[in-house]
Order: sequence, then C-alpha cells, then structure tokens
Amino acid sequence: MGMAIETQGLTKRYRSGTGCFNINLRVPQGSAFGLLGANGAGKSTLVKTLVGLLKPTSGTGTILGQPLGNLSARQKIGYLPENFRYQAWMTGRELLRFHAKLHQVDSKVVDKRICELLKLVKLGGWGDRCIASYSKGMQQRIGLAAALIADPQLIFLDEPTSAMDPVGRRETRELILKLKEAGKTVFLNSHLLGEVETVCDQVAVMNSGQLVAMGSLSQLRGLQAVVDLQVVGLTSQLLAELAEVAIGVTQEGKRVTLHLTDRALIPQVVQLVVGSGAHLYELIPRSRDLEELFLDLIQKKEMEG
Amino acid sequence: MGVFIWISVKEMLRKRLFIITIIVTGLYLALYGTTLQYAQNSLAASENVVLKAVLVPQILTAGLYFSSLLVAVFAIFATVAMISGEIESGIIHTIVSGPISRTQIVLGKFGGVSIVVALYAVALFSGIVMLVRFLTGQGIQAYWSGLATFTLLPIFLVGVTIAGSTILPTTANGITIFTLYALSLIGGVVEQIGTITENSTLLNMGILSSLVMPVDSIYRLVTSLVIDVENNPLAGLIMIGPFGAQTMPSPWMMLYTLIYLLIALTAAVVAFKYRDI
Repeated sequence: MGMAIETQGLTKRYRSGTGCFNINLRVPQGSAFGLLGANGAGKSTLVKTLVGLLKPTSGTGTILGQPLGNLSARQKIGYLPENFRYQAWMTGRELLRFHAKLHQVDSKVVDKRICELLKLVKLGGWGDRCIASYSKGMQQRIGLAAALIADPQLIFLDEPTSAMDPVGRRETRELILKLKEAGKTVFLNSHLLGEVETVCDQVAVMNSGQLVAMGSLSQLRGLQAVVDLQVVGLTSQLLAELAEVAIGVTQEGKRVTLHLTDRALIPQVVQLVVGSGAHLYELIPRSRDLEELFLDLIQKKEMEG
Repeated sequence: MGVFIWISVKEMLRKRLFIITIIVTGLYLALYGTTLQYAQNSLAASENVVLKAVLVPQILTAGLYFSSLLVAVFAIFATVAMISGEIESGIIHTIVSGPISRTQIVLGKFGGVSIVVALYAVALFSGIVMLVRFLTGQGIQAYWSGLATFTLLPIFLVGVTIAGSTILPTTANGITIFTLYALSLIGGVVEQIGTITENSTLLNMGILSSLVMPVDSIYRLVTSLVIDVENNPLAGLIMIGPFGAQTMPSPWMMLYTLIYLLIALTAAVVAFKYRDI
C-alpha cells in the first residue's frame, strides 16, 4: 500500500525555538492516523507544515506521492483547521460553492454534492443562512463539509470536535470511520485520547516538538507495560532494585505496581524478586488504555530529556 | 484567479463598508449639488465677470478633491485587512491549503477590489462632472483621460495597501498607509505654495513627498486634464488654492506611479508567497 504522507527529517523551527523537529512520518493510504500530544507539543505546527501553511526549515516530505506544497496533491486534500473561521458574510451553501470552485469540482455535480454534505453534517436547514448566524459547533460542521467538498483522498482534521457537543462528537467519529471505510486517509490531530482510540489504527505521539512514538495501538501498547505484583518478603533493597528497572514504582503493602519501558523487562523483574529471596505470588501485566500509554510516553521522554 | 476576483467583488458588495460608503456618497453629492445650485443662483445675479469665470471651476476642483478623498478612504478601508485580516482570523487557512497558488490569491483579491473601487471612482467622478454640467452649464475638457486618471488613484492605493497587508498587521498597515497618504496631500499643498512663491525648497519638498506616495500627483493631473488651463487667461486664478494645480504634473510621474504600483504588487506576491501562516 502506498503512503499518503511520508516525511524525512521534517523540521519547522520558529524564531522562538519551538516548532516540530526531525519528524519521520509514514501514513499509509486508507488508514486513520491519530496524532497525539499535549498542548504546545507541535502537533498543529506539523499539520500546518504538511498542508503548506508553513514552510519547512529543513527536511522533506511527500503528500500522496507529491512534494509538500504541490498544487495537484493539494487538489486531493481536505483540511479542517484547529482555529477554524469562515467568511461570516457567506451562507453555508456559498462557502461550499466557493471551496468547490477552489478545488475545481465539476460544476454539474456541485449542487448535489453540497446538498449531500449539508445533510451529512446535519446543517440541512441552514445552508442558506449566513455563517455569522452559526454557532461555533455549526461553524465547525460547515468547515468539515468544506473539507470534504472535493471528495478528497486525504483529510486533515485538526481538533475536529473541539467546538462540538457530545452528539456532534459521536457523529464526527462515525463520519471518520465511514471515510476510512471508503478508502480515504484521515489524519486526525487531537488531544482527545478516546476519539483517537476509537477511530485510529495508527498513532503517533508528539512531545516538545518531537515524535516520541509511532505505530499501531497494539504495537504501542506492547512497547511499554504496567505490571502488578504481589510479593511477600518485600525489602527496601528489592524496591530500590526494581526502581532501577522501572520508570515508575508504587507500593501498597504487598502490592507493587511497576511501569516498565518495555515488556521485555518482565523476566528481569521476576529474576530480581525471586533472587532477593522474596516470594512472588502474583504478576499481572495490565492492559493499559491510551491515556496511560500517552502519559507514560511523555513521562519517559521527559526523564530522558 | 477568477474565483478570487469573483469572491472579492461579492465580499465588497456585501460588506457594511460598501453600504455606508454609498449612503455617505449620496449625502455628499446632495450637499455638493445644493452648494453648486446656490452658488450658480448667486452668480447669475452677479455682474462680477472674473468671479463668474473663476468660481465654478474652483467648485469643480473642490468637488474632485473631496471625491478623491472619499475614493482613497474607501480604497484603503476596503483593502487594509484584505490579507492580514484573514491571516489574523484564520479564514485564509483553508484557502491557502487549497490547490491554488498564493500569487493567484493576491492578484485575484487585488483584481476584485480594484473593480469595485474603480466603478465607485467612475460613478463619483461622473456624478461631480454631471452636476456641474447640468447646474452651471460648465463643461470639462478631456473627460475620458480625466476619468481614467482619477480611476487610477484608488487602484494604486489598493495595490499599495494590499502590499502592506501581506507584510504588516492590519492596524499597523492602516496607520502606515494613512500616514503616507496624508504626507502626500500635505506635500501636494507644499508644492503648490512652492510654485506660487517660486521657492525651490518647498517645491523640492513637494516633489519628494510625491515620490514617496504619488497620489496627490494623480489628483493634480486630473485637475490639469479637466480644467483648460492652456487657453484660459484666468488659469492662475482658477488653479490657486489647495484644490488646483499650478503646473501640470510631468507625464513621467504617471509612469513612475505605474512602476510603483507594479513594484508594490510584486512585493505583495513575494511577501505572501514566502510568509508562514
């Protein structure tokens, strides 16, 4: 399968020294790719660089096989920005028609496409009203429709549900899944972990402008582990030795919870416990949700830094 | 590019600025026509031949002067946030990421706004000329070249303001353009005084201000084109005051203005092309 997005050492450095650095990204076509990171991690900078709003400081990249900024590639992408704003004087229908013209959509199908999209984003009765009269959530919905007007192959959604109510969020998640089913590539930039966990099959985590992890959710979960131990005969020396292996240790009576950087460290943990003369009654690797994974990755990166 | 010309025209016509401008222009023309009518009534009763020969052309130049002010203010206000405002609000994000070059965006917006301000300039110039013609019987010479030169004024300002809009934030751009415009108007008056008093320092100061911002020169050329100064023995009297033109600006000044506009547009295109958004 070809790559919808591929970057090599892509860097955008602002004068302040912030930005995104040395990003090596591979997003397969037809996948839903989630970009995670705390506020200020550099996610939006990366998205803006990919869609051509920012000029890279160094590095290269391709979008649908074409170099970044290539106009024919942009013909096939849709973009819903994080700080979405649209011409308040236009009606929703006019905005979609404008974006259709911008993307040179066949004029014979434009009206039909606009009606379909207005219905899809639940703005059927609002198409002929000025955007100035739309709520924030409705503006985000019309932005979503504008991003889809040219039936793009690759859709960048930067915090696409930030202004939506819970119903809107669920509908957007369903829409992303439908797009994925239709073979579209969705690049979802979000700090809503649940949203990413539900719809994305590939995830990358950013921290301080750098990619700290990338892969499928199952791969990332396998990368690190949280292990619950029940140990009798626990000594302070053993705890200190465990703390050297783990990135986090918590103890409550006989129960010890270890945060490991790698599942491969579990046998070493067993050896340490048994070797110390303590009795290991239980060892349960915990299945972690994305939030725990995310926090661990960020914590690990900060410790390395 | 056509889509941006189309959308810019539509945006201009929908904005409150356009409606307010039309209302103010209507009031202005009504006031001007009333003044002209009363002046004409007084002149009809007067036996002062010199006053009769001088006053109507003076009122005509005053009308063109204030019309140029209205046209300039409209052009600047319509353009001042054309690029910077959309960057500041974020509207430009989905446009720039589309399959269209930034050059086309800048030139399309320039084209769209220019069409509207040019039509406004044509309407205002023709309105003043027709009021003078119908109420006083005074015709003008070189209507078409006067009209074309008058129309160049707002187009030039749109070009310069749009260049500022790609480089500066909206407020800074507005202040800069209005300051330059004021400098040009003051420089124009200084040049007039320099010509009358034959003071080369004042004359050079006026020329220098025209080089920095040549809008006053455009206006003075319009005045020179519409008032027949060559064959009028009272030309000196007609052209005296802040609204007249003691000498006809050099044709090179028009060439300079066009080159200035071209450089401003090139600067706008280049600045926007390499700008991070």
